[in-house]
Amino acid sequence: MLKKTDPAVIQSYLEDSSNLSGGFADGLFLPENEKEIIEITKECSSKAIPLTTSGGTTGTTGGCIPFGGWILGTEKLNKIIDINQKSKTAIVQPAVTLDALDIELKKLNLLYPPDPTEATAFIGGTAATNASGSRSFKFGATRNWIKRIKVIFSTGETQNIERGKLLASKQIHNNLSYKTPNIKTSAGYYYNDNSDLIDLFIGSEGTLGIITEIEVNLINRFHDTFDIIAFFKTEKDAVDFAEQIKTSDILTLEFFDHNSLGLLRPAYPQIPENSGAAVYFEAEALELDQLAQMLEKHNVKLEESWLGTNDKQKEELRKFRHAMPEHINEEFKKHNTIKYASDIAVPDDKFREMLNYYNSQLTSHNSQLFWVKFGHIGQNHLHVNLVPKTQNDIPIAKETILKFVKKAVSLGGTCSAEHGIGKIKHEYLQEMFGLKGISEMVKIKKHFDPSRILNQGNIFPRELLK
Amino acid sequence: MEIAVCIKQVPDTAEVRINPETNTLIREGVPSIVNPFDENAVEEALRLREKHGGKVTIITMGPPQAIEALKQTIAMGADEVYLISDRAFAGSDTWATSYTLACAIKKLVAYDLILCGKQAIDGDTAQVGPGIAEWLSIPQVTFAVKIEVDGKKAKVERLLEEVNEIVEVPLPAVITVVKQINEPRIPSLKGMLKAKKAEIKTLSAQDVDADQTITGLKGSPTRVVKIFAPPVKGGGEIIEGSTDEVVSSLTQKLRERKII
Ligand SMILES: Cc1cc2nc3c(=O)[nH]c(=O)nc-3n(C[C@H](O)[C@H](O)[C@H](O)COP(=O)(O)OP(=O)(O)OC[C@H]3O[C@@H](n4cnc5c(N)ncnc54)[C@H](O)[C@@H]3O)c2cc1C
Repeated sequence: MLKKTDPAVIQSYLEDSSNLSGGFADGLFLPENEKEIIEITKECSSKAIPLTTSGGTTGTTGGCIPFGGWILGTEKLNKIIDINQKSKTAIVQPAVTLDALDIELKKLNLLYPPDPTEATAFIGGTAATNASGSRSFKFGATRNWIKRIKVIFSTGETQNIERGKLLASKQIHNNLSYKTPNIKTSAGYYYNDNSDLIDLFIGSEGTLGIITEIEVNLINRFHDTFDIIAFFKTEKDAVDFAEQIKTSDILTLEFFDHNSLGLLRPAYPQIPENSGAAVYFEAEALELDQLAQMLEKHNVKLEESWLGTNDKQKEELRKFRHAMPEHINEEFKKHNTIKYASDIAVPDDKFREMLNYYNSQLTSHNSQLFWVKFGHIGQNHLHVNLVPKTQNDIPIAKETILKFVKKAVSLGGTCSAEHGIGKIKHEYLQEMFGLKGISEMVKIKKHFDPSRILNQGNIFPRELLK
Repeated sequence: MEIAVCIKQVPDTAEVRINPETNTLIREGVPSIVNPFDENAVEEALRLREKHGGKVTIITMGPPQAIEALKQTIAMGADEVYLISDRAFAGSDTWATSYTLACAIKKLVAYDLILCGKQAIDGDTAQVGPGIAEWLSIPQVTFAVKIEVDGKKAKVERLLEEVNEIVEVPLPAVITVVKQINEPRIPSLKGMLKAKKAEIKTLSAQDVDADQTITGLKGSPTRVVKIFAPPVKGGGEIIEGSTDEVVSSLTQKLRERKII
């Protein structure tokens, strides 16, 4: 098996897209098969060496960044084992990228629906974080599409976990009191009275075992979709429209606030002047005339709404959507600061209250703070990004996000709807589940990983593992 | 200003596969699009209209399904569109096609300017635009990357391989455009609603007064002798090492090949 200790090689495994610095490791394993992974886990367990699994390193929370011990790079396990056209399923090794799978599926007119923006992510990584994408509005998060996973535990044991076979509560004999809310969430171990064991592992951020095989469900690709970006006079018009269109047959539903449009305008001068907000959606079978009426009712000028019907136009509109995180990340870089951003979702009937809270908090302080609100309005999930322009703004940014999390939790929401907790959101998870909930998660961790070596520091602080 | 734009519906080459035995395009199941360079021509026409006023008329010669391509241009904002379609046109080469389009333009538009894409991405001949100019006996400027109209003349910047050339041309003229000239607009919902409802006027060879001995296969002097894929170029070589090593290795290789 390949083992590397060259610091230059290791360096590239110490970063993801979180900007979390300070990671370090003694060495790197690059196993080529499950047998080698079993050897590694046994060796690390017996010597109590922390082991951090690395996927495509595109995560946003430092999940794959080690702070000591060894790294297990999954990259050599990159085979598509099988694509079954009849049963519409595929079996892949963990390091197959979303892109690589899509290239093969395209030839067969099949689709794996989860579409977390970054296509170089490994399927193993997206399973470990339960990633979502803009189409999660219709198709749900990654977990909805995973049928079976094969996991290697720190003991070296292997288990095939198939959906519908085992309840999580039957496996963990401690009585647990916390429950994962029934909304879009990737915060902590997924658990409730009737939850499936497989869902405990999906989104467990590599802390319970190493995923070595994934079987996913597929659907037929769709062709006759169209994409629209509509510009509204006010945020209220946009939110009202979003609420109304939500019940139609649409695949994605995304929102941009006034500041987001301002940030994009230099690159997109065609954004209509005086736009207070915009909504982007992808629809499958909507009657254009009806849609036009609905938009006009919410004060949209049809000549200012962009419509993509062919691949090229749709790609243009998607680029517009993707330009949003890119531009805001540039702002953080420009002001030399780490990213202050929320990943909050709340239940349907609480979204407006949350939005009002965002607005009242964002306008209440006297600072240079620049903010944007954008993202997955269809799932009541906006990313509020705060860019401090002066040193004075930094504590305000931090405090504001914590306030958002507290408010969201009080409304039954989640502190992390899609990016996970990793090493940078422990405080928020504690707001959500309390010390008791966290200690129950620690119990789950110890149950499946008795030597406590896997992905230390993800989900909760490593000190709790002692 | 009256502008005519000629467009062609082509298979989306991003989706095209080649039959390895015959080396020809597999067209089944491949979506059709407006030839990308023609989309630039439509966009340029719309921009000129926005600046100078007037009317943009789109003309395509093709089978009935080319209506979809025309609708696309209505959604972008074209004023009038025509499909020139007739069994007599089947098998047209660039000679016959440019003749037919020239007839249609003469019949339908009091043109000040005729815009085309520099070439169609399926045949890549780049001959139809210039052909139209010849049939109409008006000047032509190819590969335009910038067009400024001033009364009865236009200043056109041409994108050539090593230099850009600026020429002045009296109007009416045919100008063919490259993709760098502009970014075609995304259609508006209003445009699309209009396109959906639009009745597309279809004209035959007779309707455009085309002499049927010059149209279609009969009127096409071109004979395709053979279609083949060009030989694959050899891969490049990547030289690795420190800067000094790379430089000396590269200079040695260039000397060996008598390049320096
Ligand atoms: C530009 C950009 C846009 C993004 N947009 C989105 C988005 O819209 N939605 C979204 O949800 N995410 C988004 N992400 C985040 C990212 O793509 C996901 O978090 C992704 O799921 C992580 O996959 P990865 O292979 O890069 O994993 P890594 O970053 O390498 O690892 C992520 C976590 O998974 C663990 N892990 C990886 N492989 C395994 C395995 N085989 N077994 C066990 N544990 C494993 C790691 O230890 C780590 O804890 C975006 C990222 C970028 C850079």
